[in-house]
Amino acid sequence: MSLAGRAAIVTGAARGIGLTLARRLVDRGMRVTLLDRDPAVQARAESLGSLARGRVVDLRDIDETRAVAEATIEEMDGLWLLVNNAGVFEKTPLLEIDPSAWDSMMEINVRSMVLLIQAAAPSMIAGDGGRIVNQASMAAKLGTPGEAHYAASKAAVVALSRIAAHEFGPHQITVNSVCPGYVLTEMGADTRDPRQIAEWTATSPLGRLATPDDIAAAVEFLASDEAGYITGESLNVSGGACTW
Amino acid sequence: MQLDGKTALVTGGAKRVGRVISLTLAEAGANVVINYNNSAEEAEATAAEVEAFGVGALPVAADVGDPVAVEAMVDAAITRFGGIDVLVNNASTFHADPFPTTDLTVWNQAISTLVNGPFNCTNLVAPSMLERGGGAIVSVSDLSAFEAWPGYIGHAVGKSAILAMTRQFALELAPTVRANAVVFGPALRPHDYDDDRYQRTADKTLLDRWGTPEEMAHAVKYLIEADYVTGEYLVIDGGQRFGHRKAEAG
Ligand SMILES: NC(=O)c1ccc[n+]([C@@H]2O[C@H](COP(=O)([O-])OP(=O)(O)OC[C@H]3O[C@@H](n4cnc5c(N)ncnc54)[C@H](O)[C@@H]3O)[C@@H](O)[C@H]2O)c1
Repeated sequence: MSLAGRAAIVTGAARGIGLTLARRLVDRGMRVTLLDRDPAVQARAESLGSLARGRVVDLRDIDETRAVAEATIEEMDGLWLLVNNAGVFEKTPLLEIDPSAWDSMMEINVRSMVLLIQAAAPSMIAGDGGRIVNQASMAAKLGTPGEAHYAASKAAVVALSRIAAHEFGPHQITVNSVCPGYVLTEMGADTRDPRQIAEWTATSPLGRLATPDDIAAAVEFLASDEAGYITGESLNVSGGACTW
Repeated sequence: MQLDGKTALVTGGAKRVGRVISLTLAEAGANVVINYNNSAEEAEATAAEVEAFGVGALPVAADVGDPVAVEAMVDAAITRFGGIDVLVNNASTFHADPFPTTDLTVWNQAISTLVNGPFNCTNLVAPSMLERGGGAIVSVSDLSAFEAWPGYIGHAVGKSAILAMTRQFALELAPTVRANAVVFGPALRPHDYDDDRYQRTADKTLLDRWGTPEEMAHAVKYLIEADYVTGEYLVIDGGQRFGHRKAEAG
């Protein structure tokens, strides 16, 4: 069955992978709410047409996140798909990571997912099941120096997804994570140079980096009815850079 | 890769899950070479179903463990369709045997079908893919790649080898050809499962149910189409591998 007409939330959708994914889901006829702290999310959602709607929310703020998530789900009259995509990246040597920077990374990259799952799962349980897809990263499995807090947060996403798959399985809600390889979005743009980009490209036997659409296609697949027997899985979209 | 207008070879493609894979690829617009070993009647029937989608079907008998037979099959496929773009290594045996044993029949058959089979097929199909400038390979493994199954040493070693071969194929044939594996959980009731055993298997999964051949086939189709996924294995098991302590959950 097609995804048309069903409701989706995509977080971190003002730009990058999230925006590409939201566009793809709208193309499939889904009703999509784009959440982001960046006010540009409103205009970006408008540019996707009448099936899309943007809402500004700082996912670090617990009360605000809960309120916006609940209002969104009520407004959409239930939810088929939750994509926890919002995330931040920072590069800092382990010895210099400030505890507050660590906490902040965990708040957005992990805790926000917990809040949204807590808001979304009850309506999926009340409905006919659903799909939760969490954006992890190849960093959860490989990772590079300077990424301790980022890699730990993404490994937490993989583990969180697995336990959520356990708890919601009987309700036919699948929960999976996606582990993208390198995508040249604005994320981390200030921390990379051409030499690094060449090195990253060489980690993939396919000899190229990932595109936002490669990642969006994986999420669309996991969101489909036909992927209903895949749960607790972390799907690498890494061009062969990571094979486990 | 888009399947429309392409040609796919599905080993063990005549019956059970292999048949549904053949039909799924046909529905997406691919000609299908339906390999079988003993199931000639089922292969003819599946070929008719494939043709009903308006694409070509070619049933070919070959023991995948026999390189001479595989070469003849690949030649026949190329003669008919001009080349091969997609290979699904699905053919499998499933026999238990005690261990230790004095009779090597089951072991040798498992290794022939599950190790030599995907090796022979990929080794002989890859040149056509490289020549055409593209290709996608999907090989079928199961949960015995991750856990020991009593009585299934040959099977488990063969299904584990499929993951190792997949990584090798992905690296050796890159960037032209991608290679991935699917790891199937319970998909279709084996003939010897009684109701009680059937239910016990469902209870082991996080979703409390068996999967369907359609769900398995759809994952194969995704991996054929996913242009940045290679060297990867995708598990379609209803979360069964994480359900080992499910009885304690709650
Ligand atoms: N780009 C890559 O190479 C790559 C690789 C692996 C994983 N990922 C993951 O994919 C996801 C998307 O990444 P991207 O590359 O599109 O990044 P991006 O920076 O372009 O987009 C992330 C979005 O999340 C939003 N966001 C950040 N903090 C937020 C908060 N507190 N509240 C609400 N919104 C917030 C940002 O405003 C931004 O719009 C992230 O989870 C990232 O970790 C990216």
